Amino acid sequence: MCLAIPAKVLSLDGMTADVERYGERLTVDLTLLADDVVVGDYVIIQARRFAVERMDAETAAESLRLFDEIIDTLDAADGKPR
Amino acid sequence: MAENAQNAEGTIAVTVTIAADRIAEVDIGSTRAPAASRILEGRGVTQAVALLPTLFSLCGEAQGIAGLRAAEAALGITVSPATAAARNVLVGTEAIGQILWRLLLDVPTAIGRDPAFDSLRAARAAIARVPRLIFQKSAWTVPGGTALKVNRKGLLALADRIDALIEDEIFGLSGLDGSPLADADRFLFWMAEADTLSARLFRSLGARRLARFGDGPTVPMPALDAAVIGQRLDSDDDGAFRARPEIDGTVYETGPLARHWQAPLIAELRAEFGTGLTTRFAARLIDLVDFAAALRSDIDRLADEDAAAAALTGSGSGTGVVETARGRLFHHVAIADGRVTKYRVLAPTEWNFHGHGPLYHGLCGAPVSNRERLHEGLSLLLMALDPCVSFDLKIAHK
Repeated sequence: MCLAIPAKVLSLDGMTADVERYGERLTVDLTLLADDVVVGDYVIIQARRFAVERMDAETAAESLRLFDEIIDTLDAADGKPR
Repeated sequence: MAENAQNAEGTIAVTVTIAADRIAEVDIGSTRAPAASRILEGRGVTQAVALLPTLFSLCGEAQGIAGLRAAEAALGITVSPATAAARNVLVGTEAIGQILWRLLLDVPTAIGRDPAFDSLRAARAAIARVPRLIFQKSAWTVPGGTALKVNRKGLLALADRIDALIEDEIFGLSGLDGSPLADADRFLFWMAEADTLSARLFRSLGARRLARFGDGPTVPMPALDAAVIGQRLDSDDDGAFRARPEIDGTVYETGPLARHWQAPLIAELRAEFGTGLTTRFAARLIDLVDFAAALRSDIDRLADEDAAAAALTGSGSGTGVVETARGRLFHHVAIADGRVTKYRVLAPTEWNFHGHGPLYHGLCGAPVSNRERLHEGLSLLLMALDPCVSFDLKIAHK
């Protein structure tokens, strides 16, 4: 049940990219991506290692609104303020 | 927030403790939370189901279809044979993509070979186009079904491509009398002779004395009545059943080995290698071939048709079931006047990585010859049982 949390591309270096999602930074492999990406694009990551899908900013914003809701639910369960 | 973003996705943490050259203790922890589906509650049923492929990255189509089946069961909607076939094509091709990921990327990495990136990328790109070859509109997650406009030529070309990939890159051996998966004799000949990554995996298991690593008692999931699981999910307000599922005290195994438990090759391999790595990866190959064969028969059942006009304002509860690459996936939904009041998901990972499930029993008491081999064996066993989230592996000594 790997969630499709969009990660923003911060920088590119050949076939790898540094990405960020909810404050977590990861270096991901772009080898399996069918489309080219540029800095500022969003990608979906699989196995915390591979970018598998490019997502435009508008779709990513819609998706991130959903994940904000999920994380709010978890924060509320933990009693944490956002 | 970053911490809970990771928790939302979840991780499986496995710690094995070694004592006297055996695995003495196995601890399997999960940070997976059932919160993702909770955000579907309160929404209209069509909107809720439409969000599923957006939420899930690994098996988004299977999740969407489990949701559709649950909603349709709840509202008493029957879909046309062509729509049922269209959904099977989506589930099947998505599963094929997931199996190929394991066989062409993860397995070679685990045995020190280069992954077949080009083949995997090409297959995934072709599979990603499948919805456009079937549905008139991109929004296909509509209870009751949506308009079908079938590109049969494109779909058959995809089926040909998958068959060629299996023949060339998975089997890669001509002149064999029958399938290498027909029985143990043909399988053992194939794995000794073929020059593919998959054949090398099996040879490598033998060379590293890992052929039966992970053997342990396991109970293949039978054809459970969806209503039984549905009742358990419906009353699972605290999430305890979803976190540690069992039926009458039995933690079932679900996935390739359970699906092909009685296949002639698997029965023979079980006698020789138990439920260890050889048997598990062979079951995955059978899965790949079976999903590819089912794809052709489902393509044959497709036909153009208009969107169905289903009434989505009713009330009821229902359970949807999908066989995914990793095993059986259950969605349960309760609907009141067209709005979702409960949405609960039970994924295969929760059975297979249960604290006293197949992974636990496969590891408890396993002999340990050396630490390097143990790490390889553990990684491969986790891969064979195939969690849908990343895993952390720790080895401790007493």
